[in-house]
Amino acid sequence: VEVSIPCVNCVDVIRPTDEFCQGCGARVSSDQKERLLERLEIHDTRMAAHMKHVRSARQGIITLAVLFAIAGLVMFFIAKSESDSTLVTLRALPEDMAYPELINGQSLTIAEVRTMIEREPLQILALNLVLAAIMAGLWFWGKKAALPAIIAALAVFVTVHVANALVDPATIVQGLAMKIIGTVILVRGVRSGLEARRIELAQRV
Amino acid sequence: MDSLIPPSGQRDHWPLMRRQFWFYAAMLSVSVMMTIATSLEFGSGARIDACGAAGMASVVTVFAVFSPTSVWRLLGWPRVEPKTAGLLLAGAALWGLGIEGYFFLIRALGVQFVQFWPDFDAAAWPWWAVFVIVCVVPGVFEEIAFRGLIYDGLRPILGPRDALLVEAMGFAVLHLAPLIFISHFFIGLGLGMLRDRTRGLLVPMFAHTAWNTYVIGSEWWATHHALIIP
Repeated sequence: VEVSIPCVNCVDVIRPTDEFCQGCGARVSSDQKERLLERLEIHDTRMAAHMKHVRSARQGIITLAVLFAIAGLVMFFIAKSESDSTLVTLRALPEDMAYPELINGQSLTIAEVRTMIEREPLQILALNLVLAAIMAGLWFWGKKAALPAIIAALAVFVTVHVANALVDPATIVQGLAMKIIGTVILVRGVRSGLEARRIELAQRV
Repeated sequence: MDSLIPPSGQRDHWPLMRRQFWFYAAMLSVSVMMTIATSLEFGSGARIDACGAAGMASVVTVFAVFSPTSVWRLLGWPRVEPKTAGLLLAGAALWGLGIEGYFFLIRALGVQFVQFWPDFDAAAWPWWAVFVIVCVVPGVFEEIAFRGLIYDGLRPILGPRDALLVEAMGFAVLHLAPLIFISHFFIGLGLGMLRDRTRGLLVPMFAHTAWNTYVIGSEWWATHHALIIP
C-alpha cells in the first residue's frame, strides 16, 4: 500500500522520507512527517510493531533521565552527611598539618583535604545532573529524530556503566537487571528504528 | 541530504550499524584497559599512556583497513578558499575560548584534570615523546575513528546532521568523564564541522593536535614555570 498525504500548497502528494514536496518544493513540516508515519503504522503492521519499540526506547531514555536525577539527589544527601561527619573530625586538627595518608598519590594538608571533602557531594550531584540533562536532551531530540537519539543514548548508557564499574567494581552487580533491561530496550529501539526507516524508504522506491 | 539516503529502500542497515557498535566497543575497551592498568599500577604512568596510544592506534588501523568505506580518500590535501579558511580560523578561535571558559568553570567546582607531566617527568621521557603520545597520536587516530570511520559509517543511515551529532556524542562519552562531556561534545561537533567543510581529515587532525598541544603546554607552564622563575 502506498502511503501519502496531500501537500497543503499544491495538488501533489508527499510520501514518506520526502523532505520537500515534489510538486511545489515546499518543505515537509514535522507535523506532516508525523501524519505520514501514523498512516504507515495503520497500513503496515510491521511498521506499527517497530514504532512501538522505538517509542518504548524513547520512554526508556526519559526514565533514565529521571533515575539519574533521583540517584544524584539521594547520593548527594548520603555523601553530604558522610562528609559532614568527617569534617567534624578534621576541624580538631590544625589546617597546615600534613594529612597522614596519601590521597591519589599526593601528600595534602588538612585544609586541602577539607576543601576536597566539602566539594565531593556537589561533584556527585553535578555529575548525575549532567547525565540526567544529557538523557533529557536526547529524549527531546528523539521527538524529532528518534533513531539517532536512541543510538546516542545507548552509547551514553553503556559507557557510563562501564566507567562506573571502573571507578567502583562493586557497582557492576548493583541494579544489574535495570542495566540489562535498559540495554535491551535501547538495542531493540535501534533495530526497530532501522527497520522502520527501511519500510519508509521502501515506500519511495 | 536526500542524496545520502541509500537508493535502495530494501537495504538492511543493521550490519553497518553493528560494525559501528563493535568499533565503539573496541575503542571503549582500550580506555577500560588503560584505566585498569593505571589503577593497578601495572607500570609507570608514561608507559601506560604510551601503551594506550599504541592500543588505540592499532584498533583504529585494523578497523580502517577492513572498513567498507575508504578512509584514505579523506587524507588528501584540503581544498579550502581563503575566505572560508579565514572564517574557519575565526570560528576555531572562538570555539577554543568557549571550551577554555567551560574548563575554568568546572575547575572552580573543584574538578581535578588528568595531569600528564608528573608521569613523564618521573620517567624522564623527552618532550617530543610527550608530544607524540598525547598530541599527535590522539589527534590523528581519534580523527580517523570519529570523523572518519564512525561519521562515514553513520552518514548513510542517519544523514549528515544527525551523524555529526551522534559521533560528537560518542567522542564526548568515550573520554569517560561526565563533567567534561559538554566541552568534548562541542569539541567533537567543531571537529566534525571542520571535516565536513574541508571534505577531509587533515584540517581536523591538525586542529585536534593543536588543541592537545595547547592543553599539555598550559599544564607544562603551570607545573614548570615556577621552577624556572623562582
